[in-house]
Amino acid sequence: MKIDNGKISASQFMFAVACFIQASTLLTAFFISVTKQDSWIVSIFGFLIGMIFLWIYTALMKNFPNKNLVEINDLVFGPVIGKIFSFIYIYFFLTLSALNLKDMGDFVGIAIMPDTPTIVILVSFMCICAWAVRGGIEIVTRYSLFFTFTTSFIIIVTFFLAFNDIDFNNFLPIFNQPFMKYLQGTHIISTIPFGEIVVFLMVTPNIEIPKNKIGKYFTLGFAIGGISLILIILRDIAVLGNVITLFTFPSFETLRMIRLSSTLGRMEVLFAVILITLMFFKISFLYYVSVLVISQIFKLNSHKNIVIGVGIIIIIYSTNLYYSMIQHMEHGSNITPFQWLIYEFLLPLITLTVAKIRKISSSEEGN
Amino acid sequence: MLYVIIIFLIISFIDLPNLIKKDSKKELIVVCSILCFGFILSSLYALGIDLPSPLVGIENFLKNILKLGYKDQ
Repeated sequence: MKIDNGKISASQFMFAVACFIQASTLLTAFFISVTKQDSWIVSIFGFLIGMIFLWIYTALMKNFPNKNLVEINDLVFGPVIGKIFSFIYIYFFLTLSALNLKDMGDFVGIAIMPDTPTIVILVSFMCICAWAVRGGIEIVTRYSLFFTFTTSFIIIVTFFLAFNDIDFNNFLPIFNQPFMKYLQGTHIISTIPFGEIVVFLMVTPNIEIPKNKIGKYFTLGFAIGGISLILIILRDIAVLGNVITLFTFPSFETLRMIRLSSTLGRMEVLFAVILITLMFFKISFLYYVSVLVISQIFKLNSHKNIVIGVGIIIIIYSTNLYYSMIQHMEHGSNITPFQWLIYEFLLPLITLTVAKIRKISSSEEGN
Repeated sequence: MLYVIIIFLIISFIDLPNLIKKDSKKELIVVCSILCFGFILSSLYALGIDLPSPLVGIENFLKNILKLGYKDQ
């Protein structure tokens, strides 16, 4: 049964995927501190491994057309174990929303408004996100096209504007680090920006296209997002060089160094603007998916009633997660990739394997 | 603390009368329990009491007991 009856078109879906991945360009500090100037190699490998995740999700989408992630779990595992899997996904989506909200609050709190208490920023941001989520999937993804084009335009423009500061010697020495660092970097990239597209399994019934064509749009959106991420990393390493490990937000520092003429300096305000808009999209999408999972498990009539409650839980959860940014960075580089691997790779793979073994597919259910 | 109570009263006055009029028991229970959970969490935050974070707990479990984790250098 569908709770939200909105319909989105295939191109909106594709740009939503691209926008979602582009919003993770803030999180480059996780793997840049690990593989310092070789981060571009690691991100290309991470992109290729992300394609494996993508293949699992498109296989699930093709086997069960017009079914949510929660409904797929119920079909494949039966009512009791399916609900347990869906509860695990509630925890994952709530944690993702809280983490992204915390990132956004930290960025605004450090770079733009240092004296404002964090909770004021978070609450005012979540009010707008809650308003968008109450409208449903159409309103959440309505501006994905505009955001993606604006972000890509700004990325390309700043790439050309930073031409004066690019020094290709900053990429050397190549392949100089122990192998474990490359493995760790690939692991971080494939799970933290690229693996979070598992949330798109929840909105499959709302897409207005025959489901065997959906793989093409999913892959195209993923490719747009991935290429943007790789371009940004290349630009940052080329401009900043070895200093890149010192910064929490490397792209911010890159844009600080751009001077077009004596009047057109201070480009970092562009970065702040696109970051806040992209994080708005990502957080409201994750918020929407959390609300949808909860209302699907308890079989509510509409998702609009629990929006405010879930929003309050996410805000308080995000203040509670880590006690400092340093702990966030440390855990994010070392342990979080393993935990995300469980939710993004292991659980969908188990679902797909059990579905193949039991020979269940949605067409046989007569639905 | 007083502000937390006032804000939750305002939120319940926005949401709950429609649900009570429609007389759907299950929705009322779910919405009320989520709001109660949020109320407890935010009053604990307003009183300054810190709860342990579940994410850190799971990550410590993965790191120390299952020994999955990269060593930081």
